[in-house]
Amino acid sequence: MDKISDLPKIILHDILSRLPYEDAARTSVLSKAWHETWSSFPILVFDGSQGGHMLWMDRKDPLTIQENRRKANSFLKSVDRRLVRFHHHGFAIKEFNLSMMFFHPRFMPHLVDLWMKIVGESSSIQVLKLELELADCYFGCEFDSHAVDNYYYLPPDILKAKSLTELVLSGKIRADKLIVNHRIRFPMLRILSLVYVYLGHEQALEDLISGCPMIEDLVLEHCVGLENVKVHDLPKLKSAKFSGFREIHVDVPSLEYLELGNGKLEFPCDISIDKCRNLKVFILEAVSSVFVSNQWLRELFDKFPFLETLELSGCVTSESLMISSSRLKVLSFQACLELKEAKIDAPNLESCRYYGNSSHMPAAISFVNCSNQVDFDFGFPLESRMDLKRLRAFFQNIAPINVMVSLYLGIMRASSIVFNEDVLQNVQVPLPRIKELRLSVAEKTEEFCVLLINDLFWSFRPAIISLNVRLCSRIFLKLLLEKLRCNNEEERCCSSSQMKCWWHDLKDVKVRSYPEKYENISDCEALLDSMPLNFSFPALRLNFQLEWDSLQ
Amino acid sequence: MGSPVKKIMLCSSEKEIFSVEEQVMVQHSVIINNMIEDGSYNHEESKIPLDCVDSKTLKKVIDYCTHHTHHHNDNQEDLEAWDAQFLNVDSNGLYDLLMAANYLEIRNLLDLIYGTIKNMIKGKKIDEIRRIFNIKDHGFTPEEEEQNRKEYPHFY
Repeated sequence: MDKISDLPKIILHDILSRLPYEDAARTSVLSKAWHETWSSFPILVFDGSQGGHMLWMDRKDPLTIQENRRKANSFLKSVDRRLVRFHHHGFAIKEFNLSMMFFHPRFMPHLVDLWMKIVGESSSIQVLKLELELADCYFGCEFDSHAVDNYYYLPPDILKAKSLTELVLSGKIRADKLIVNHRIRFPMLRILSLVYVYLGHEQALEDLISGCPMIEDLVLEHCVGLENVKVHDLPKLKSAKFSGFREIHVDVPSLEYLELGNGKLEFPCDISIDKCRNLKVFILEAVSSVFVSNQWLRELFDKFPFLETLELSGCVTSESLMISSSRLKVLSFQACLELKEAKIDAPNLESCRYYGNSSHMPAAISFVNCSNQVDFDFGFPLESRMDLKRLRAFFQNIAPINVMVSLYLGIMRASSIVFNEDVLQNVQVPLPRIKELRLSVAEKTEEFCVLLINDLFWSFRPAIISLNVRLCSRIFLKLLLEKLRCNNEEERCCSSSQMKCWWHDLKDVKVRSYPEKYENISDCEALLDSMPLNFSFPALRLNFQLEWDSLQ
Repeated sequence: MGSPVKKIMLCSSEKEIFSVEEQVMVQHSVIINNMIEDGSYNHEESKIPLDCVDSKTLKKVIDYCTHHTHHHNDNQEDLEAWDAQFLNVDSNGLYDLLMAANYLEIRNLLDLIYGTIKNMIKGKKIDEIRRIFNIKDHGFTPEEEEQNRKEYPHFY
């Protein structure tokens, strides 16, 4: 007798709500008892985001169009059946999440209206997520994606959902009419997110916000008709993300997290956030009107004395930056192409991330007054026609810090070109000690991998090497394992050279792996031979603890 | 010399009495914490009756609370290993523990059991879950089962 199936529904629903939706849905066919549990599960997710894409050449193909119609109809029917049944039985709905990539502005609004009515009338509704994208070509007709008539008008029925705590709208949805014609009031709303939603004008945003005084988390991205965002009357606001506006004016002392972006838009953006004194996290993405200079940084740390995380992505910067803050814990540069050199003076820094661009030399990052526990995450997308010199120069640049950092190197594909044995002359002594070197190397040419491995060990003597097997090429793994075997048989290989090969310094290697257990290198090699390596490869992390001969 | 450790009495469905350190139960069980705080438990004469918890389960629950009170400073790995060993019971045992933890409102034990049941479902095919939960009779008619298999082939 299976007692688990007999647990009270409320407990089973709690368990199901912790599972990914697909896993939860699967329990509906386990048994009659589970089927019943599932039929009253108060979280309703309808994902029609798949299958919205079609090939350009198929757009006029009657068979494809017919098949699309069938798919869309069966999706709509299943949503309708489920909701109507919930309504009929009076089951509580906690969350309604509908995303549809084939919204048809003529035939579907009345159905969605009906669903919104049922959702609005459910007294227990907490989360409403609605994402609608136009069915461009999907049914054989094309829509003008800018025409306001092609939007779905949010119906007044949703205003009845006073218990809403989270409202997430995305895509072809018009909220302006609703806001103008009705008084909006969601007294419990904590999360509001509007992405590509039609708001029409600034007043709509103000009216909406004034009816939701408890908002803690606000996301506004590319709202149609809204050019300026002004937020001041949200006393609980903790986190905000704004993207695609000409003017951003935030005057909320409670704000701790702020993310600003321009999306792909090129226009300048006027930012005024000086009153957010308690800001802890500031993320700035491709805002071309901001020029990140030493002065800008100094003012930033002055204005926001509690700032702990600063992430700059696609920003225009000075060539040389000095980042000096006693509070800073996380610092990130991504695709800041002008940056050539950064000195970081931050005693509390815990992690630093630098993601470069294949067309630019990575910046020289140096740490002053930093703890020896900094986690340095470095991604370097090598592309074709790229030589190793750039990478080697980077190693040399961070080498003199000589602190126990952990370093992550992500190296995509490259096609190696000529390599000179000049690496030997450039080795720094003593070699920097690195606690953990995390690697993912997707490169597939043997020549490059050999060079890379040699360069790595000439530059660093890591205590631990950690590999995410899924993100590495087979050839790289094979070559690395081979080198780590501590083969001292070829003692003569470097007898003519003035320096010993690095692997003669390697005394011992211990293997630890997760989640599967592999005890030694031969096991790992056997594993590599037995399985195809690709993204469906089971998640596996291999750790090698390396013991080195003392370095002079 | 410190004062003697304060104890409380818990009574299982078989009327067996368990004497437990008050602090251990107060820290973990919302219900018992409330009883002590609002004074409804009298140390001289009260026993807390747990009519829906049998002795075997109650003993396990007390084990859990005691271990997590005295070992909360252990490293995470050791605690997780202990928890895994603790929950190495059949699905009936898991049911009893869950109902007891639910009744006593022991939040971290509930989370632990929920997590265990979650893992029995996550990423698994129907036949595997049926075996794990010991579902011998799924209750569907052969036609319904066939229909399900046709409609949701990826579940099986």
